[in-house]
Amino acid sequence: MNAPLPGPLNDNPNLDRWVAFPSPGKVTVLTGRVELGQGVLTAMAQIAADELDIAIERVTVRSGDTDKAPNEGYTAGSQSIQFGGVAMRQACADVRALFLDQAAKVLGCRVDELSIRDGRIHRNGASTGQDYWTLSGAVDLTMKVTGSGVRKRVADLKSIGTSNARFDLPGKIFGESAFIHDMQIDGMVHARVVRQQRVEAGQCFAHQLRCARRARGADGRGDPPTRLGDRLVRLTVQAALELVRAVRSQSEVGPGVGE
Amino acid sequence: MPKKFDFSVNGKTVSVSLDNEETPLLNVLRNELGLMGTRFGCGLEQCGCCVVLVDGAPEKCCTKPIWSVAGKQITTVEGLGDAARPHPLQQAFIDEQAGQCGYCLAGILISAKALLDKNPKPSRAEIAQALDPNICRCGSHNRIMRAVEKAAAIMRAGASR
Repeated sequence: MNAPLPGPLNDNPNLDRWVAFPSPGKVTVLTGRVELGQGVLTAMAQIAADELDIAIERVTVRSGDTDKAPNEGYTAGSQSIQFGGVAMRQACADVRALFLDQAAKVLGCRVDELSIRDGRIHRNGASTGQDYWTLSGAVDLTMKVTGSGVRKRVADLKSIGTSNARFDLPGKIFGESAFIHDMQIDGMVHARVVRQQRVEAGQCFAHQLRCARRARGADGRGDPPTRLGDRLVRLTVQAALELVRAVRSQSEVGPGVGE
Repeated sequence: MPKKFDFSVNGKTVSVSLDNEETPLLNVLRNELGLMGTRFGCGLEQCGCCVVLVDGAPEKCCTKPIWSVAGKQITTVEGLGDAARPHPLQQAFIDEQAGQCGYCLAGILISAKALLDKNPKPSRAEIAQALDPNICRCGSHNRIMRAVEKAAAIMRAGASR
C-alpha cells in the first residue's frame, strides 16, 4: 500500500493540474503557491527538474492561475515546500513513471532498462530518439495521481540543495511590474475605506457618501462615487485619494479620521 | 482646470496635465506614465522604496508634489538599464542575488547609483551610510553591500579601460 498522498494532491489529484509539456523542449509546472520573495517558484522548478530529469532551464512555473493551477489555498505559514513542494515532487515522479511506462511500450523493452537524461529517454545508456515530447500525445495526464512514481533518492538530486538563481529577482531589479499592485487591468477601480470615529457605521457611510457627492463637482472626474461594499471607489489611485481628502474636508469630524 | 507640468524622465521629456498640483511624483510616475518600477511603500518618506534621482540627487518621491519637479530631470530604476543592457549595479544585484522580496530594490539601486556617481570607490561604511534611508525589511543587507561593492569595481574597471 502506498503512503498517504501529500495533502494538496488529495485536493488536486489530476496530474495535468501540476505538469504540462506545452511544446518540444518545454515543461510547465503549475503551483497554487505564489512568490512572496521566498523564492518558492524557483524551488518548485528545482523540484520538477530533479524529479523529471530535465534541465531547469526547460521549466516554466505558472503560479496562482485559478483556472489551471492546483488550488492550494493560502501561501503562508512556511508550508509551500513542506506541502506544495512535496506534492509537486510526487506529481512529477508519477509523470516520469507514466512516460517511462509508455516509452517501454513503444520501444518494446523493460522499464528498468530505461533512464531519462534532460527529458530524453535512454535505453541502457543509449539514445532512443524518444523523449517527453515525442511521447506526450500518448500519455494521458488527465488521470489521477497514484503516488506510485518513485521519488529520487537524496543522493541523486542535482538541483535541489543548490542555490539556483531566483526566477523572480530580475524583474524586481529591472523595475518591471513584479507586484500585485503593479497590475493594471481594463476597468479596474481603486477604493479607499474612510473610517470615522464615534459615529455609528451605517450612519457614517451614508454621511460620507453625501459628502462625496457634494465633493464631486470640484473633483471633476466623471461619474459620482459608486458604493461598492463600504468603500469609496474611483478609477485611479489618485482620484480615490482625492475623494478621501474631499470627504474629510467636508465631514463634520475632527482629525484622526483614517483612510 | 488641469495644469500642465513638463519635466524629463529617464532622458525623455514628458508632459502631464493634472488637476491637483500637489499630486506626488510617485503617483504620476506609476499612474500617469505607467512606470511601475518605483514602488509605493509607506507613503510617508520613511522607507525609501520610492527613491528616484531628481537632477542627480536621490530623493523620496511618495510625497514630493509634482509642481516641485517641473523642469527637472528624473531618473527611475527603468532608466538604469534593462535585461538586454543591464546597468553594472543591476548585473551585480543579480549576480549576488541581492534581494528577497525585492520591494526595496528600486530605491536601493537608485540610492546606490547616486553614491557611485559621486564616489566611485566607497568604503563599506560609506555604502551603509548612503543606503541608510532605504529600509530592507527582509534583511538582505549583506548581499546588497556586496553587490554595490562589486558594481563599483566593475564600473571602475570600465572607466579605466
